[in-house]
Amino acid sequence: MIIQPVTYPAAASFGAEMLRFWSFQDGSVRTAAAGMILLGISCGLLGSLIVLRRMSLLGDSLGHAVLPGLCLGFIVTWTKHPVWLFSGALVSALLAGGLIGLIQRGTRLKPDVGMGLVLSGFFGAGLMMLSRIQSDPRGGQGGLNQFFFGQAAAVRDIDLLLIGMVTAVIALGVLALFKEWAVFCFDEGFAQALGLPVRGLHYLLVLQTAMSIVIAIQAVGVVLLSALLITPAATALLLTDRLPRMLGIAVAVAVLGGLGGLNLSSLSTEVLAQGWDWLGTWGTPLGFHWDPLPLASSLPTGPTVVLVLAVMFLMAWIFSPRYGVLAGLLRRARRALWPDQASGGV
Amino acid sequence: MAGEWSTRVLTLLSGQHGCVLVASLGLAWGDLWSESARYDTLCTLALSLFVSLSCSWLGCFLILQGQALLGDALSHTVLLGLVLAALWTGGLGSGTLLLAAVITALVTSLMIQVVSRTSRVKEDAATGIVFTSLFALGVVLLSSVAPRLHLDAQHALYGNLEFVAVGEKLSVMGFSIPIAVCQMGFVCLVLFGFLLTCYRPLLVAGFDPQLARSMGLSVHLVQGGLLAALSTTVVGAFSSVGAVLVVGLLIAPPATGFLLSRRLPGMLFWSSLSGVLAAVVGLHLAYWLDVTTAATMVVVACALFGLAFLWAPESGVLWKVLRRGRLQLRMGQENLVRLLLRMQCRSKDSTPSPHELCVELGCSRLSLSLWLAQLRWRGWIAGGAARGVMLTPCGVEEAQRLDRAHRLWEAYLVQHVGLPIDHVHPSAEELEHLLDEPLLARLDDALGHPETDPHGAEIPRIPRNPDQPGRFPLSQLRVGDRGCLVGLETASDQPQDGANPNWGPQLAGLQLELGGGLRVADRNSEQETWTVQFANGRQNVIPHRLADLLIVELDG
Repeated sequence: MIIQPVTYPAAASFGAEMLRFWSFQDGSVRTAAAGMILLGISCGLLGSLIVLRRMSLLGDSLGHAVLPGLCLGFIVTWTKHPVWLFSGALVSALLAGGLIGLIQRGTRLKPDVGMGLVLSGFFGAGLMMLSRIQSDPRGGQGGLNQFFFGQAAAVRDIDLLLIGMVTAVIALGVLALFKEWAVFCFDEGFAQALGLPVRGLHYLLVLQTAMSIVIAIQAVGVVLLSALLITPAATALLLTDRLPRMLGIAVAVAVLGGLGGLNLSSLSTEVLAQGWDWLGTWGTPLGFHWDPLPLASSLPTGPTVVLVLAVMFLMAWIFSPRYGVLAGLLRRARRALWPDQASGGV
Repeated sequence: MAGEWSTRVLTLLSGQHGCVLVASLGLAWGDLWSESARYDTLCTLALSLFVSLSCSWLGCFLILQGQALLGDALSHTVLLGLVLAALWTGGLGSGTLLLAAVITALVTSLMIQVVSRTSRVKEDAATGIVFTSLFALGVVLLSSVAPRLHLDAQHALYGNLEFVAVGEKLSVMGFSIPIAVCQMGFVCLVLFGFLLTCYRPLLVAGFDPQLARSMGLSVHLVQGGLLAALSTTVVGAFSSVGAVLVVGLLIAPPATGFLLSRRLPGMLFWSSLSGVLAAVVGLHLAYWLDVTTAATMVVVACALFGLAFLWAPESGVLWKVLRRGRLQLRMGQENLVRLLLRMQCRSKDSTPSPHELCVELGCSRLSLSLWLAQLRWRGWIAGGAARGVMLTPCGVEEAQRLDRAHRLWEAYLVQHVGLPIDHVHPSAEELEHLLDEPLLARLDDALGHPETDPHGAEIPRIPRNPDQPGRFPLSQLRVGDRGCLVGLETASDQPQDGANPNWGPQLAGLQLELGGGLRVADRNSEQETWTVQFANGRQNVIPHRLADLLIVELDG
């Protein structure tokens, strides 16, 4: 992809900025958006499997656990070289996954305890390294801080290449073994009876999750990564009963959420200040003290993506035609009013 | 800087320049506790001790209730509470802050419950969704109020324990103490009181909610109290340690305690100990390495867990591996001994070569030589590798004991469990190593002292008492055996199966003669009777129970 430097007049109006984003004319926006779409595909696919397997917290712990690997990968060249960062993070995530399994099998502790231990231990080790790096003149400007909450604008073409390759591998892995995954996620006992290598599949899932996490760090950050895996899948779970459709919906939700979040985080500080102003007019009567401050920078991508995803989940939770709260209330009301027809209601 | 650091690590790893290491540590120690820095160090140490103690107490109950990651969720969402409170009051008064944090924590756990109850999303996914969303909202809001809060999102992640002494001071009994330390000390004290007064309810509700309910305890109330205590602790720890690292202090020390003790008081003790150790060691290590204190504390706490994971008595992984390795070794040796006996029985004079043995056992040369060396050391085999190996009498005895275990178990599986004959070998192959002598005696007795196993192989018999090799109970004799009666088993040595009837009259009826010769004429395995021909020409049918009591010394 060739980046053509495009210069725009300072656009301070909300509409103009939205237009600029969704027309995808800006090269950096295009790169970031392409990255988000690819991430949405990999995270949507894997997240569905993880949520069905009830391993949701694995994403959280692996997400935090990549930090020491990132720091080590950074130290090798003292730049954010994608290959080193990727391999460091992957090694670290795999180590974490292995340790979680080891703790689970070696003790009577519940699995969430092992995950919490690995999460905080690895994150702590990563922070130790990070504080060393930041006190070093070579590392001070490295911008490793972006790894906490992500900055999609920092995604470069070479990162995009890596993200694309990994996404292809993951999509291939999920779709080629589709039947196996279906059996494995819904009925592990049956999978075992069929002679499937259940433990192998488990570790393959951990490996793929680690890979999808590693490519998402740059854009979404380590802290809120798990939401990109869990929330779209949970939203899809509320909307359908069939695995293929669930995968599709989860991918769609993740892509939409990613683009929406990217859009929010690409808004300039002037527009954001206008937004706070507007919020402030609503907040003041409620007793909130709100004097908008000049923002130092635009919003980090991770939290905005998570917020958009959360809104989508909330909508599905309330309005889902079959499993939504509203549908449940309607069903109950109908049953109370016309008891004899209750069985006909969906 | 980095060069210096790596030299330090290298010295640490090589261990050759111990003096340099000690000197460097000493210097760090001196710097940390020098006149000018002592106050700061003391404040930091006090704060980290308060935080780690509170967390390690609370964590024990959280882990027992299976809510380890609730701490994770709450410590993240507290940020939103803080930001909203700051927007509401326009500053950070500690009272509002605490209230806001507690409310946020309660709302978070309520939201998790509501989402997981009213939809098909399971609790783990609901937790993940709720806390990431609220935390994200907190981060986004924070970006507009950060300058006023003196808190940026990254410090919310890893805290700033080092700068506690810089903050506002409070004068307590003539000492000026930073407000953060006072707050956390107060939280720690209140928590201690709470745990002390509610120890019983927490214990019962943690281990057995059903029992708690039947005792009239409100489990919801107990959990609510725990939640309030948790959120108070988390908000206290939040600004000093940070959201993610609180989780480490909430989980790692209690998990260590869990491995080291099976009782709650023991768990609390070990948990507090490792929490205190983590704080003290973490502080010094962080200063020495020049890194973030809170992160170092958590890493030390996790390292302590790692030590417990490896070395804990009973449950430590190293011990387990060691035990398993020893069992494997013993099983290999015992299989080898049995194989040798089988080969010796097949052809008396030829001794098997190591290669043959390897092929038969399906093992490597290395493990074979290891087993052979062990067996030679035990005195079970004689001869060298070149001439082939031979079992000593001691080894033969051992092999027979194993054969007996193997075949008795096979017979038991066929007769009493009802397995088909071709299914019993694999199980017996494993259990022969584990069955001990008293159990074998009971098996043998329950089976009626059979002579052969289901495959038709003879079950070796072993003397009642190893010191008197020729003496057996009558029940173990085979048809045609000759010997003389030498004594009577005392009843206490008998396997006790239910009622033990008095055999006296029957014994008297037999008119036995001590030292009299006898010959086993017949045995009926259906009715479990032995027909014995005595030297004086009399013939008696002796039932099983009685046959167990009579000790016979075999001729020859």
